Amino acid sequence: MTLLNSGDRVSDTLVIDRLLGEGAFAEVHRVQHEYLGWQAMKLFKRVASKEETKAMLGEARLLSTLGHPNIVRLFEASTVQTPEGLRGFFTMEYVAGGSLERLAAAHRPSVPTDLVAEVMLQIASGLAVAHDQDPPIVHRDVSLANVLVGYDGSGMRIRVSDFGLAKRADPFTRLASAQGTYAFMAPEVLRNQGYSCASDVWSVGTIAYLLLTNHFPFDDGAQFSSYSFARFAKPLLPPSSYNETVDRELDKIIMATLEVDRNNRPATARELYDALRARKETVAREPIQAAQNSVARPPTERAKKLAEEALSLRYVPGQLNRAADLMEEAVNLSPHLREQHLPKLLLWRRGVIM
Amino acid sequence: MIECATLSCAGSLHPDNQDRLLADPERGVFLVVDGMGGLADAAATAGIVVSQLSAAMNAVDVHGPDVRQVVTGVLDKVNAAVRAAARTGPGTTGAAVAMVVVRDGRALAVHLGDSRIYLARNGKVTRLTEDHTEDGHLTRFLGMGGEVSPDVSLHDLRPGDRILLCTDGLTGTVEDRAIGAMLTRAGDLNRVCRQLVDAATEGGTIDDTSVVVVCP
Repeated sequence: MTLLNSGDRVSDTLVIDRLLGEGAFAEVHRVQHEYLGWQAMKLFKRVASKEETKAMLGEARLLSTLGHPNIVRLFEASTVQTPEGLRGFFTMEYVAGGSLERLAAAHRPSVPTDLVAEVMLQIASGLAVAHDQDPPIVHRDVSLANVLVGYDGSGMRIRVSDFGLAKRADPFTRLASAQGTYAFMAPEVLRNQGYSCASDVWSVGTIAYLLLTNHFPFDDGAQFSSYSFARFAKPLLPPSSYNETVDRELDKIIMATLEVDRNNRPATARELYDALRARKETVAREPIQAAQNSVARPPTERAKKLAEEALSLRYVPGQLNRAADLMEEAVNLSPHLREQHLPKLLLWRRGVIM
Repeated sequence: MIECATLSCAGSLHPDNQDRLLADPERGVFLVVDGMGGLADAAATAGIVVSQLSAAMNAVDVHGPDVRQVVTGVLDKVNAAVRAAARTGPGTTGAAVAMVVVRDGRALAVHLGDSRIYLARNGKVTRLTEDHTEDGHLTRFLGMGGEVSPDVSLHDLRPGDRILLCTDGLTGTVEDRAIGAMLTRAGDLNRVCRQLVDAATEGGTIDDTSVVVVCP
């Protein structure tokens, strides 16, 4: 049971459309804004006042006003009456493509190297702006679920969400929700030695490692191993030992982000970004390798339906954005559909109906 | 099928692009919208204008005798929607718009504010719009109080004509003559768009720049 359900009215302009996901401390709904179309709404399960909601969002709001393309934009924060009483919520841009979890699942066992490098570059770009603040803003919970994958007119656009929310979530709910996110946490964080920008850098490296290899770094396969510090004592295999398409430079960058001693990592996302940028320029100068022969599974029925709905909706006047959102969802669900429809989606995002 | 190309580029004023555009060659509807106002409002407003206007224009008979009235009525409705959608109250956000509807060899040109429409024919370029500005302020735009009065004009088209719709990110830094030269240069429409936007960037524009080039 969720606090709010499809059709529930949140405010004069917002109506719940459907549930997108649920964690221990919040549920996320897609909402329909009367004028602005779809938005995502995060509803806190325990936060009960407007002041508390705004306090939770302090850093996220600050970052949102910077308007960086790789940081999720927030719209409003308020409270809504639910069957269990008043609850805080905030709305943010809806990214139809979903999170990296979906991208990883669609490409399993491994996401193409170029795509991972681009994902990593854009996450680093968003985090760099946060780390550049004085004092630096540390995300604290960079994971597959908090990185959203959309497309604009020029290509894939990654957006990092939920800045600083982890800081204020109470430890108990953290524990309940963190099964997934512990795996992305740096050793010093697990040892309660405090967060720094370098802890975020570790999380970005973990994401890249996982996407490329389908393995968590330092995961020895033992049950509950993510709780044991002993695993960090073993040497880490580079991503290329699982995935031969990973180039040496990317190997090196990722291995640096996963240095157990935080002093040996890039200190901030800015440093990581610069390294990825330099690699990208080098790669661009190299001769193009033959395309990876991906074993493209046929798209699922759901993905196919989304794409078909998008293709017919694009001709309905005023519905191009909605069509693009549906297609964005479809291409992230299926590499096959991505190959087939990505150019079209980018055109739609540029306002061209084709 | 009408040929067309588009390009939109964020300026340095704000990191997100507050222009929106639409090119629907099947229906012959083309528009650029330049959103104004704070934070997310400007881009949202521009988005509302694009979706509402493209939906409403579909039903308009461009060759009807009362086309001016009908178009004004459509824009009045969009104007009301923009005012109603403004988070911080009517009048805090708005948009300039330029629209061309191409049907049966004729082009209907409509605009409010400082987005412009140019027509290139036989190597010569004519501007079809007069900016609605006074002392650097917009005198007419979507989201304004009172009734809107768009400029509406009809133009017979000839083979080889090219139409440009653009926001003031381009025209604030690139002269009409230079725009004309780029628009009449032979070549791929996407390249023409790229050249126009690059010229704006080189000219030092800080505003978002959007262009739609149509070869009807």
